Amino acid sequence: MEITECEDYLEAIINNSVEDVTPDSLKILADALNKDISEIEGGLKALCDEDFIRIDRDGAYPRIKLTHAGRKLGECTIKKHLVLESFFTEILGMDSHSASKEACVLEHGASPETIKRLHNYIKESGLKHRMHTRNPDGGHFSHGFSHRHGGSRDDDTGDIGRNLSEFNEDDAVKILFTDGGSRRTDRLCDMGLIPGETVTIKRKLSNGAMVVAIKSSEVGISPEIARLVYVEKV
Amino acid sequence: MDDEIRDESVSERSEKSDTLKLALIGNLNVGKSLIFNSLTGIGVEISNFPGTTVGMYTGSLVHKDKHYEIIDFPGVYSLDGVNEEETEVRKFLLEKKADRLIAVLDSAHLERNLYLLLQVAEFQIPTVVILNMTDEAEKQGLVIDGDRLAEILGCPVLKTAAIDGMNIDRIIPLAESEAKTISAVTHYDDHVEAALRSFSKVNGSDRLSGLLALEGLLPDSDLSETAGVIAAEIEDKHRMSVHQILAANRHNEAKRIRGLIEKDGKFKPARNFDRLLTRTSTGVPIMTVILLTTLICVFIIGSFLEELIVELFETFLIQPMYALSLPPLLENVVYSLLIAVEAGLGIAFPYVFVFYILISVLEDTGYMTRAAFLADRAMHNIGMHGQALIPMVLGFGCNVPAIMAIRQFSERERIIASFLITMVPCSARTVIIAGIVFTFVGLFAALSIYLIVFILIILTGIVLTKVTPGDQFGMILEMVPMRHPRAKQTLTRAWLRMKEFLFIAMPLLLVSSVVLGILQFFGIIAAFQDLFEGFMYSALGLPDYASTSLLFGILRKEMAFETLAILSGTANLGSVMSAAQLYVFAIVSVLFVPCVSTIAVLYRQMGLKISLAVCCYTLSLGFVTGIILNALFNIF
Repeated sequence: MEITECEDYLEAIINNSVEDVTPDSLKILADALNKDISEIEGGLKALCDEDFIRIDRDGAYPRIKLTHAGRKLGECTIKKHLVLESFFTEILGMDSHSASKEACVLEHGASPETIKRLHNYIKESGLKHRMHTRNPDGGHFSHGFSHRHGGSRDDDTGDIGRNLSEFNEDDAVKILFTDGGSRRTDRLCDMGLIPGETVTIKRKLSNGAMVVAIKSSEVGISPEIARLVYVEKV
Repeated sequence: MDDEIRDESVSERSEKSDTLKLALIGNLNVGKSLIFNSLTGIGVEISNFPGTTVGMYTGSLVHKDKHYEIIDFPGVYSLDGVNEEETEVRKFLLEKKADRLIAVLDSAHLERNLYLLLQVAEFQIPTVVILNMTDEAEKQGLVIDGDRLAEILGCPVLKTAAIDGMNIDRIIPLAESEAKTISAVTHYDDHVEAALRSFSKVNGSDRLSGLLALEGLLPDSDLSETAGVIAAEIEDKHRMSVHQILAANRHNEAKRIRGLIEKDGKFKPARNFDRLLTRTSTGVPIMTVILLTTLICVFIIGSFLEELIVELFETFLIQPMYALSLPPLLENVVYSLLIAVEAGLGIAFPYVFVFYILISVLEDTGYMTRAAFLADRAMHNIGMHGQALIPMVLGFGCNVPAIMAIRQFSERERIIASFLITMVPCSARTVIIAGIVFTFVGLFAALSIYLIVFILIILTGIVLTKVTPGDQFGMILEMVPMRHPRAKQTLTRAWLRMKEFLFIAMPLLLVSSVVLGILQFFGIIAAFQDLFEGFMYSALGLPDYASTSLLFGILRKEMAFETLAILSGTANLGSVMSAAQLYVFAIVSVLFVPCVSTIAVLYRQMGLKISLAVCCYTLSLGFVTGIILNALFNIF
C-alpha cells in the first residue's frame, strides 16, 4: 500500500477513535476515506503488514491497536492537515469545507519543515489578531497598535489580506477577521461586524474614515479602525 | 434575641417587596429615555452607580397604591464589554439589584437589538420586552409578529411608540404581574458549550458565570483560572477571541429569530439628504453653517431672556432684601445666595437651556452623528476622534455636562478632552465676551477672542497628542437614522441634560458663592486684592479690582463681568477702562481657571492630578496670553 494511503487510514483511525473492527467502525472508516467497506478490510490488513497497527483477535470483535510507528505517522499527518487547513481558512479566507478537502491532498506531500514554518507563520499572524484577548486592559495592545498605526502598514499587513480601508464607496465586502485589541473588536462585534458578515461601504472620506452599512444600520468608523478589519470582496 | 433578628429581617424584606425595582435596558437611541420620562414625569434623580462616575437616572412612581423605583441604565450595545458603562450595568445585574427588567428594543433595527436581548436573557431576571418605535418600523414597511416573539422568548412582548405615548401605560402593569425570565437560550459553539458543561459539573457554576469567566470578566471567582486555560485553548482552535465567538453565535441567533418574526418591508426611504451631509465638499459647509447658526441663535435669544430674568430678580428679590436691613453678615450671605441663584438662572435658562434644545434638535434629527463622522479627521489632529465632537459642542452650553459626557472615551482621550473642553467658551464666557468686548470694543474684537481661544484649543490639542500617554481609541459610532424631530422627545432630551446642570452645577454654585461672600465680609478678598495689585498692573495693565473680579470668575465665569461692573462703580465700563484693558481682561477671564463647578466635576471624573493640571494650565495660559497681549498693546 502506498504511504499516502496509509497516512489517510491512520488519520481516519485516530480522528474517529476506532478501536475495534465492527460493522459500525468499518462503516465509519469507509465514509471517512470514501471507500467501500470491503476495501477497508483489505486496507487494515495492509496496515498490519506495514506494521502500523496490530489486530488482536481475542474478543468478540478484533481490536485495533496502533503501533508506535503508526501512531507517530498518523498524528504527524493530522497535524499537517490542521496546519494546512487553518492556513487555508484564516490566511487565505477559504471556507472550511474546501479547505479541509484541499488539506487532505496536500498533507501527504508537505515536508515536516514546511509545515513547521507554516505553523509558525500562522501563529505569528494569528497572534496579531488574537493578542490581548485575554487582557482587557490592553497590555500588549499598545505595542500591536502603534506598530500598525505608526509604521508603514504594508510591512505586516500586505500578506495577510486586505483591510477595509483599501476599498471604496459602494463596495460590498465580507469580513475575514478583525485585528487589534479586544476593546476595539468588542465594539465592532457588538455592532455586528463579525467574521463572515457582509458590509457595504456607504461613504469614504479622503482620510479613510468611512460609514459602513451593517444589519440595517450604519456605523461610522475612524480610519485606524477600518485598517483593523480584514476583508475580501464579494 | 433570636426573635429580634428575625423581626428585623422580615421588616427589611417587606420593605423591599413594597417597592419593586424596575430597570430599563436597551441600546442607545431606542427611545429609552423618553419611555423613562413618560413613566416617571419630572421627579427624576440623577445618581451614580456606587463608586463610579457612570450616571443613571432613577425615578419613582406610584401605580395602584404600589411603589415602584425605575432605573434608566445608560444605553449599551452589549453586557460583556469592558467600558465603564457596560461594566457597571453588568455588575448591577449580576448583583440582582433589579427585580424586573424592561428591555427596550428598536423595532426598526431589530437584529442588533435582539443581540443585546439574548445577553440580557442570560442574566435570568424577569423581563418584559418592549418593541418600541413601531411607528418607524411601519413606515419602513416592516411587519413584526410580536406574539411569535413572545412565544420564542417565553416572556411578554409589548409593542409601543413612545413618541405618541402608545401603550406606555401598559408597561408597569405588565412588568408587575407578567414579567418572566426569558427562556430562549443561545446555543454557542461546541467547544464553548463543552467548557460550560464541564464548569457546571466540576465547579457547579451556572451558565452565565461560565460564559463571563470564559471571557475573563469574572476575575475573582474560583472559575477564573480554569476558564482562562480553557479559553486560551478555544481561542487557539478558533483563532478568534471568545468574545468574537460568542458575539458571532448571538448575532446568528438574533438573525434567526428576526427571520421568524419579521416580514421585510418593500419600501426603503431614500437617503439623498444623508449623502449630502456626510460628503466633505457639501457636509463641511453645512456643518459650519448649522453650528454657527446654533450659537448665534443661543446668543440672541439668551441675551434677551437673561436681561428679563436679571431685571425680575433685581426688582422683586434683591431690592426687597436690602429693604429688610438684615444684620450685615446675614445680609451678605443672603445676597450671595440670591445673586448665585440669579446668575444661575440667568445663565441656565436663557443660554444653557436654549442651547440644549437646539442641540437636542440636532441630535434627534440624527444630524449630530453625521457631524461627528465628518469631524473625525479634524479631531484626530487634536488627539481625539469624531465622537468627541459631541461633548466639545456641548461645552459651548456648559462645561459641566460636557465633561460628564466624555466617560466613554479611553483614558488618553479623556485626559486630552478634559483640557480642551474646559477651554471651550461656555455660555457664561459668552456673556463676558458679549458684555465687555462686544459692547465696549466692537464685534470684530469679540470675534477675535473666539478666534484666539480656538487657536489655543487647537495648539493645546496638538501638544497634548504628543505628550499624553495611552492608546487612541478610534471612532465606532452608530449613525442614528435621520428622523423628523418631535417636540416631546427633543424637550425630554434637553430637560434631562438641563437637570445635570441644575442638580450638579447649581448646588456647587450656591455653596461657593456663599463662601466667597463670607470671605469678602471678613476682608480676606481685600487682602487678596492688595497682594496682586502690583502684578495686575505691571503685567496685565489692569486696575486692582480686576483681580477680585477674576477671583469671582472662578466661581462662575460671568461673575467676573458682573463683579467688574460693581467694583468699578459703573456699568459703563468703557468710561473707566481703555479698550485694550477691557480686551485683556476679557481674554484672561475667559481662559483663566475653569469655574468651580467644572473643577468639581473634573475632580470627580478625572481625579486630583488631572484637575490640578487643568487649573494650573489654564491659569498660566490666561496670564501668559494676557501679558503678551498687554505688551503688544503697549508697543503699538
